[in-house]
Amino acid sequence: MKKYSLFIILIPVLVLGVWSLLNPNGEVSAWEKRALKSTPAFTLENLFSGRYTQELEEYYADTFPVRDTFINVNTAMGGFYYFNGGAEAALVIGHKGLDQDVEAPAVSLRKEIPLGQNSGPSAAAPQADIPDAAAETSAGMAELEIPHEEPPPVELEPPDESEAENAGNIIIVGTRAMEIPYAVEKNMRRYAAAISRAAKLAEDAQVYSLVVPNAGEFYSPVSLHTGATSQKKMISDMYAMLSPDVKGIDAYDKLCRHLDEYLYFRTDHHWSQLGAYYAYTAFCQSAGIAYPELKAYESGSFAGFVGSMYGFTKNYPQSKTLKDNPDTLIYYLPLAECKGRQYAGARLEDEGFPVKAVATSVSESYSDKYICYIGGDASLTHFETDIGNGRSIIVIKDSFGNAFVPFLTSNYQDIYVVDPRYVNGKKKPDFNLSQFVAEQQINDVLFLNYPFPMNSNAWCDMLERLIGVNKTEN
Amino acid sequence: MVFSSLVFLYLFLPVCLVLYFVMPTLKAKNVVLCFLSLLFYAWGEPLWVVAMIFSALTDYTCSRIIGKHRGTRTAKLAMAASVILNLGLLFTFKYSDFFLGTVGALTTVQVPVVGLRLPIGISFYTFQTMSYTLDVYRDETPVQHNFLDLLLFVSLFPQLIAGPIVRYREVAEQIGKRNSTWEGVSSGMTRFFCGLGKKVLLANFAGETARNILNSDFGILSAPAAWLGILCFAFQIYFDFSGYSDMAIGLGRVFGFRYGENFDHPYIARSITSFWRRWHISLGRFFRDYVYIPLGGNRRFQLRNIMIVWFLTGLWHGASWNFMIWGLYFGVLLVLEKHLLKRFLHKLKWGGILYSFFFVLLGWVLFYFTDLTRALAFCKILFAGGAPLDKATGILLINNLPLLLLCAVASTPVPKLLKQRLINWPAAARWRPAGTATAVAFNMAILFLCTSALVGASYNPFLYFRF
Repeated sequence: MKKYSLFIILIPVLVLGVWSLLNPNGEVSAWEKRALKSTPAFTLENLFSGRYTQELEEYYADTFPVRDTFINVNTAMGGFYYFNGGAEAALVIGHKGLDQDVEAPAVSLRKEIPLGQNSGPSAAAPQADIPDAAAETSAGMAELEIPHEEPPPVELEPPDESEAENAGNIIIVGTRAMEIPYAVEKNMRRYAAAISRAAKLAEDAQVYSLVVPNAGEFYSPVSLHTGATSQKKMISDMYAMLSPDVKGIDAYDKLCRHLDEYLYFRTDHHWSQLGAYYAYTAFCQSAGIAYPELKAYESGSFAGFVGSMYGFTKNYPQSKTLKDNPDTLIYYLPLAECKGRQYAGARLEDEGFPVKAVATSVSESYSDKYICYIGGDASLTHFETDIGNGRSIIVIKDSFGNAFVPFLTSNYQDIYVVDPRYVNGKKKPDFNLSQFVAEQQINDVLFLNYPFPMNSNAWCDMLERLIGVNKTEN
Repeated sequence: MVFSSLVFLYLFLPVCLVLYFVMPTLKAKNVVLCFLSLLFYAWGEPLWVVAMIFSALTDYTCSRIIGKHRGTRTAKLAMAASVILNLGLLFTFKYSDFFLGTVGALTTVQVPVVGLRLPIGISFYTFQTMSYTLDVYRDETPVQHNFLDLLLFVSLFPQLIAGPIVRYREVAEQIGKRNSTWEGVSSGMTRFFCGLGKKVLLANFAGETARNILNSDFGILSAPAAWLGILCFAFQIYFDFSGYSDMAIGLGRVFGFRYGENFDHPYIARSITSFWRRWHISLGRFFRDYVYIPLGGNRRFQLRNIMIVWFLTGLWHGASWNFMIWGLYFGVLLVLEKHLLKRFLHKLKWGGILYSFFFVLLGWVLFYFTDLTRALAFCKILFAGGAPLDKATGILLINNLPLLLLCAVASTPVPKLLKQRLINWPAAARWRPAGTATAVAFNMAILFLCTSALVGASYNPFLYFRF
């Protein structure tokens, strides 16, 4: 028997090995929501750099026979490796390296993210996508009024501690996954100092700081939004560090009053555009400008949105609940006519690439529906509206800003959007904030983030480079 | 190519086994092995496969010169040429940027960066080829006149990229004369799958937790989480490296080669001295035979010799200060044990295990963080406490509890005893098939789980590639 034992183990190896060669076609994996690898291109350069064989291995893994079964087994093994501790619902895991998360890879949006099937010839005229009805209502902008009665704050029952398990920064409770930020005072100081510095440099412009809580503040177990994880506290602490020239905007209170509404996605780390709307009203009140009622907007939706939080946790068995319970993204179209352009080189003199403030169709194959806002993250994006009031704003933001910016089209003729992750680094274009503000004679400067960036070393570095803060000054 | 990849398991290995066993003569088998080994290496290092062939060619030539001119100045020169060329190769690829960077930091001179990527396994094969020439020079092994046979020794894919560091004289005879028995093939395969399981089912998962904790923001790291992180790293590096050695030794046996053991349950060592007799044994022996003893060993300047050896051991692990400090750290501990602690240590049993594991863990802190300020900050969290214990840490501990227990048990000789019980135990001939069936079932199960993990995961780096 011993003699043949080798052959026995070789049988499955040979069967799968031969099968793998007969089965060379990778497709789009419905599960992973990505196109599987295709045969890599052979070039001598690829070969000698080792890229060719590496891609061949990835291709091989992607086209392996009965792949889905093996993946199922692997996920089942997760029950051992990411032990639940016997708790019924929920679990968590996935400790994210904060800094890695914030420093997003500079992907080219145009190549990888189809911004809707209708971006054919009409793509050159981005405003064509905005329905006529919306254009019509923009005529009635003058009648905007500040809504009157605020609903009282909503008290939510926090989930039971025993239901939740967490391994750092991502936690799944029920069908909702959340990121938990931690206060890092040193970085909060740097963040506040950088913004204060920007206010000093941009003498003629009013600088605003808006930090918005994420879902973790409201829907996580108590111990994950109190103490060092209290977002309310970290936001107000940071505001207290700002110089008096900067206006800190309290969106927290506004959001609190609407917690029974669909403010945050459950499967994605972002807020919904409804959440962004309430923060927008807070901004308008602080700036003393009018804003439209929510019902004035025309809205639409994308169903079946399984967002980033599933992506982060999909190797863990506990993430199945996210996949089985997708979100619906509801968007609100701008009231004013607006033309948008993205400038990968962060220079307005460049040709630019047309984008819509809100795209009404997002390619089925692309899982991140949140991409429908302002064409996704980019170094510099510019929107020009037809409201003709001559006012301009620049928004320095993380991706939470994307759902927020479309609302500003009701109040500004020019809206510039800068994402610090995409400028002033290796292979990234240079961008100096105060210079840009002076050149474009910008009226308002808004720093908009969710709590992670202000606690992140990497983000503060980027902000300091953007504003031109010398590190030794700290 | 790495062993823990689908391409290796399902394409390379079966093709290799079939071709090898189909060949009628040992000579033909050797040619097949040599060709496939070069392919194996070139798969991961398509350009610098020439560096390996260059290294083999150097030692082939130098040794022949030594053989012809034994006892003369020429022989000495040839030996020196081999050492200089091999160490030069290693220095160029591994240490030149570190060296230039240090020069640049100490002086105000603007130094250019060479920017070469470290070819896979260069630290292992340069040592192997060099040891061949040194052994020929000392007349401890005959000169190999067939270049293909020497190239086979250097490039033999089981041990090529992550050890063990095989000495030529250990396998010299086996190259020209060896038998593959079914017994050997069978136990070799089982050994291979044990190693595969260690790497894919233990090291990769422990590594994921370790990486998440050790790379996180220290501002929010609590002391228990920090201990968990370094513990997971200790398990990762042990199962990664010893798993690789198991796979190498197992595959070697399949082809009829017998390599020495490289690990012997290091985490149950009762002293640091014992730990280093159980951890990466082939490296320790290399430094003992080619550095420590030639320097004078125990007979003169022992303290100096120990420190030199441990400085070099550290340096071998990487071109960075932390590795040198890590090496010297063990040098100091070993000297202390030799002169002070020895008499207490052999009285302890569990205490000895705890003592040495504790200092090994601290060593891994130095080993992991190439940035020394970060290493110090981490130690501060370990001992002075970091962020308060939070819910997240508690859950992290629970999440990893089964894995930690499995790793802890797998680090002891318990699995080996189990294997003897289940596979080798049946003494009566009629029960032997049952033992074999158990082994086959075990191998199949490991293969199935590893395939699932490999298909399911993109995270699969081999730690020892860096060295």
